[in-house]
Amino acid sequence: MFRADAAVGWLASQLASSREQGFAGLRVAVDMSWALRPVAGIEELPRFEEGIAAVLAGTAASVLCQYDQDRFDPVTLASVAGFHTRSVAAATYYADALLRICRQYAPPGIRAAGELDYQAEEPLAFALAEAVRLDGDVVLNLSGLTFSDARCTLVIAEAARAIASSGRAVTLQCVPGVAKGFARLGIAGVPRVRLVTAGDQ
Amino acid sequence: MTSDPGLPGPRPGTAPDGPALVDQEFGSGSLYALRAAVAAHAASAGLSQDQVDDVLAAAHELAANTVRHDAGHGRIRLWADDQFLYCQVSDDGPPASGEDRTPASSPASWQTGHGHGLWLIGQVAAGFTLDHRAAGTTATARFAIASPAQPPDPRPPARSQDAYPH
Repeated sequence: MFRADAAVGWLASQLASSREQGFAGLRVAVDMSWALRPVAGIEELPRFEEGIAAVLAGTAASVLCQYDQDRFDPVTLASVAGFHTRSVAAATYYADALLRICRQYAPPGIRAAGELDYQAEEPLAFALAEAVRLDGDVVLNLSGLTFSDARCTLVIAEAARAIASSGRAVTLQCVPGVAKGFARLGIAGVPRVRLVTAGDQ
Repeated sequence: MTSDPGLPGPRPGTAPDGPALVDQEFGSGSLYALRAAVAAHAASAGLSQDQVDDVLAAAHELAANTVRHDAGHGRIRLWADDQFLYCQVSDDGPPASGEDRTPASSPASWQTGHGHGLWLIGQVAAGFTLDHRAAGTTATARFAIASPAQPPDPRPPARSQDAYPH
């Protein structure tokens, strides 16, 4: 059972406690995914956010509420957005009615959804260039992509090969129709590149 | 492709006089609509999802070539006979000079630039013809339609096919 009053009270006590201990401020990061579980009282979520905003007013504390945009519905996100003084979304390289390409922070890489063709090659290449510069292994999350033409499939395969050639692992996540394009290029034979087909249950 | 005068109906690979499954104009701003129409009608013509993906890929590459390298706009037609589904893209402009419009038979060179789309068509289609004329270019790809009379596949269903109810 979630009670907004109790949660806000807990935060207020933490704030008081840190002040008593002589800290100049307090930073709290909250993963809001708990709110997706079947929790009773979830309708109090906006009140919780409102309460936090009230407790924080005039203090040197900051609370970072993290909402996974893949999992929360837009209505819920919009209902809590007003209580946040600042909001930060993943860096978006491209977004229109047909296609969205954005940075993926965990696991590191990029995420693309929609339909990809040569007309979006430039933002795609830019996003991939950033992914190539990331440290460590890279995940190219294309599972929301329903189409990729020959040109863009080639551009992505080239980037995957470039990352893999620097000794890092690359995972390509995509639906079967898009995976076929990569398979056709022989990506299965490239060391450290893994093709994961969503829909393979 | 040869014609057989003994057979009634249109020559194989020749657009029918009657209504086609798809018959629409396209330009650089309507490739999305083209893909949506091709995917929907290829599926309703009895092709598996795997084949629909191939037809979709070929149709897009043919149209994209027209938009990028030839007239800039064109017409796509999709029709089927008992054996094949045909996808034809035509335009009314001369081909750009110096362009190699023959599907490459060599395996994909990853450095391939222009011509890569045609290579892909060669990979997925059962046949491909290209007709260059002063009045325009007509490219036709055909795809075998699996005959319903063939014996059922004795293999157990592959996992990857689970996502494709037929």
